[in-house]
Parts: sequence; C-alpha cells; structure tokens
Amino acid sequence: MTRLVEYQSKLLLKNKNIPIPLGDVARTPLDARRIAERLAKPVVIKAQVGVTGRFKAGGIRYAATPDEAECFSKEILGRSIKGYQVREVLVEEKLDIEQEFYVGIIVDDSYKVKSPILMVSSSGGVDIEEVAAKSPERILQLNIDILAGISKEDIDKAASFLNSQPEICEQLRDILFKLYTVFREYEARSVEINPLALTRGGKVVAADCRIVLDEAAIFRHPELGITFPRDLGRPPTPLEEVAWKIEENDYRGIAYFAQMSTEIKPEEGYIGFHGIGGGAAMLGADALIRQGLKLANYADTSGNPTASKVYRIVKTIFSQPNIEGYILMGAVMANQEQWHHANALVKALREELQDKPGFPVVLLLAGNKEAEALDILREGLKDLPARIEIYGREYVYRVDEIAARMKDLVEEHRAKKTGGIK
Amino acid sequence: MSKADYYRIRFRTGEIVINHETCKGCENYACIKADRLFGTNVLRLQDGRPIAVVGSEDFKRTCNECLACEIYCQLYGNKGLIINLDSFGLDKIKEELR
Repeated sequence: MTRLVEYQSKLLLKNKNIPIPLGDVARTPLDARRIAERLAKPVVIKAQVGVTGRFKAGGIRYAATPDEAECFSKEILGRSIKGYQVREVLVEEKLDIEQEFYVGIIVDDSYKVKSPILMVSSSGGVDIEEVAAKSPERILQLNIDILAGISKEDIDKAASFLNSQPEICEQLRDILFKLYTVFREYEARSVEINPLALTRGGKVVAADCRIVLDEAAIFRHPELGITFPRDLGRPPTPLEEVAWKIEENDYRGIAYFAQMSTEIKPEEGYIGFHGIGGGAAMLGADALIRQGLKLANYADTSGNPTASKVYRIVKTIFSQPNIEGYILMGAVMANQEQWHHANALVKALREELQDKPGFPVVLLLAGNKEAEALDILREGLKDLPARIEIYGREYVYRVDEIAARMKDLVEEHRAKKTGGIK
Repeated sequence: MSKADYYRIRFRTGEIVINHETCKGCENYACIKADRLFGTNVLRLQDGRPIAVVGSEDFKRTCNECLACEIYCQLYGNKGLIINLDSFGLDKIKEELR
C-alpha cells in the first residue's frame, strides 16, 4: 500500500475539481510565512506525515497571523510524529465550518463483499471506526459494482443521507461522483475525505483527505513521482530502498524486505528472518519471538519468485550488521517450485558463509519440488564452515521446534565465540 | 585468455560469463543439464562450448534466472561459468553499513 500525505491526496482531488481549501506546501518557516501572507487570513499549519492523530501529537496548529504561521511551522518542521520526521507543512486557509461529514470509498476485500464500498457519515472530523462503534446509525454503507461503476441512485442516497438541503445535496453528489473518479483513475485502495466540511458560507470543501494507493499499480502512474510505494509507517532504510528496487520492475513473484531494527549491537539475539508466504511467515516469526529471539528484519519471497530475486533478498538480509543467525522459515507447503529457492540459497550462502565459521543457519523448505530442493541444499552447502540445519515437510507445522533449534544454535555459536564451549 | 574474451550473455537482471578455455575438457557440461532441468533451455553446446541458443534480446526474455547453470558448473563442472547479478546498489550500502 502506498499512503499519500494530505497535500498529495488533495492534489488528486483538485485535479478532479473537488473543492479544497486555498493553501500551499512549505518546507521552511519562511515559506509558511509567505503563504500565510498571500492568503491574508487565519491559517492552519498541518504536518505532512502519513499518520492519523496529528492534532493530538501537536502536528496541527492554527495561526491568526503570518508571524504565528512562521513560528508554529518552526515548531512543527523537523519534529518527529509517530516515527515520521516532518519535512513539509501544509499551510491552508482556516475554514469557518458549520458541519462536518465523512465520505470514503474503500476496497473491502472481505469474502462477503469483495468490492469497493461507498461509506458516508454525518459525523465527520473523528475516526470513522469510533462513529461505527458508538453511533452506527450515522453511517451509510453501499457496495459498488466495480464493473458498472457507482450508480446515480447510490450517489443520491448517500448525498441525501448527509444533508437534505437541495443546494448542499447537489454539491455532495458532485463531490461523491468525482471522488469515485479519483478512486478508479488512480487505482486506489481507499480515498477518504474526513472531514468534508460544510462552511457557513454554504460551500462543501474537502478539509482533509487520505488516499491509499495500490502499490502494484504505482508503475502505471509515473506522474505521481512515487519512488518508494511501500507503507512501512516510517521512512525507508537504505536496505529497504534496495529491496524495493529489486521488486520495482520485476513482477515475477514477491521479494519483500523490511527492517524491524536498524541499530543492532553484537550479541543482542537478532537474527535475519526470511519467510515464505505471509501467514506462514508470521507463524514462524511468532515462534522465534516466543523463544526470546529478535527479528532484525521481516522478509518474504513467495508467489514463485525467480531464484535471482530470492538470492538478492538473502543477500539483503545478510547485509544487516551483527545478526547472529539466518533462518528460512518456509512453514508452508508452498506450491511454488522450491528448487529455485534452493539454487538461490546455495549461491547466496556460498558467498556469505565462507568467512563465518559456525554461523547458525536453519532452513525449512517444503512444497513443490521439495525433495530436489533439499538435495540441492545438502549438496551445495555441505562444505561450508557454517552450522547449517535443513528441514523439510515433516517440520512444516512444527515451527516451535525449528525456532528452538535456532535459539540453541545462536546460543552455542555465541558461547563458542566467547570461549564458553570448546 | 583475458577476461575481456570471456563469453558473456545478458539476461534481464544480470549476466552469464563463461570462460570457454576452462570449459575445454569438461566431462559433463553440468551447466547445460541444469538449464534443461531448472531453466528454459537457453544454453546449448557448440564445438564443446556452452553458448546461448537464442540472440541477446530473446535471451533476456526467455532466461528464467534460475541460477542453476552456475551452481551446477561450480559443483560438478569445470568452474568456467559464473553469474553476475545486478546488485541494485546493495554492494555499496553493505559496505557503508559495515
């Protein structure tokens, strides 16, 4: 998923003529001041980070004058909000709001729905989940037929649910239709305007907006200038940027890599983690954590990736300093041809382990072409000085045993290094 | 034979490099066998030398990057074939992280 920040989201709305407040992006306090001077009215300064709860975190301030705009921007720029460093603020006219709505179009991939849903609420400006819990009668939810598109009936129904005044209703209808156009055109997972503000002047304006795009569709939208479309909840590390480059133009299977920690000191129990398939990888990761090990990273190679992709992910995992072991937790009977994983592992581990005597490596690989894959591993890794254990399908549901072995190997290796075991 | 004379064929994200001098006298041509089993039959023997079956553009499209030709050559053959994979900047970052 690719989460756009507010001003990027609003730009997409503006492109479709959905009304947004006047304003601009500032990267310095002086820029903020100039924007406030140009607007010549009270403004709101908003930290541009892709997280909710900015107001409570001090990332949104109201400024009555350009002096205040400069001062508040200075306070917000450079600070960290929920792990994101604020590099930009949006300086916008402060709206005189009479009523706040919520409107959103969200892909619901649950088994029963499997379509976009249009969701509207007369209670905007707060978390929609909170409204759903406390006042579900204030939410209207309609499934959208993806082939037919959003219907006029649905738009009429949603607009009337929000406001009964004809002139307001007309604006709402127009915005809802255009919002669906944004959703489709940019191949979004969700587009949400919250709040959609009705001003005292009778205008309906998108006061805040959050858009999440499908990362697999980003390559079709170079106009958005997105260089790292993965949603990590923080800026990517250099290794994560490399991992994305591996994936970016190669859709043959998945090669995912995210770091869980970037400041690993020796002998802290961090291991390089390599899973196959999201659910199975989670199962394996949980088992390792139950053993008291720490994951330096989370990686996943599934969907029948090429051996070259798997090789690069293994190399990326090994690029993390101070990891005390490597585990391939293929805790799933995968229908991908596992010999490609085996070949990739042999090439990567033969390069990485020559100078790592006793380094703990646990490989669990099961599924299609498993017997051949395990033979490749045994034969290809047999002369390496590392401590390598290879497991197949009989261990696929015994992840706790695999995790325990990993822990034992890590402790043994650490003890040997420090002279505890001869 | 200088490195410049090595046989090179590029696939989508890397290249195969073969020293045909080393291949002389190879008894099993494990690279070709591996390509038949794991790959897409993109290598063949010509006068005792493994070469690409197709032209360079088609090779980029058809090679499935299984890496098996290198592994089998190194384990069972004359060690005349290696694969250089594009690192996408990983080598440099790894150095920086050390």
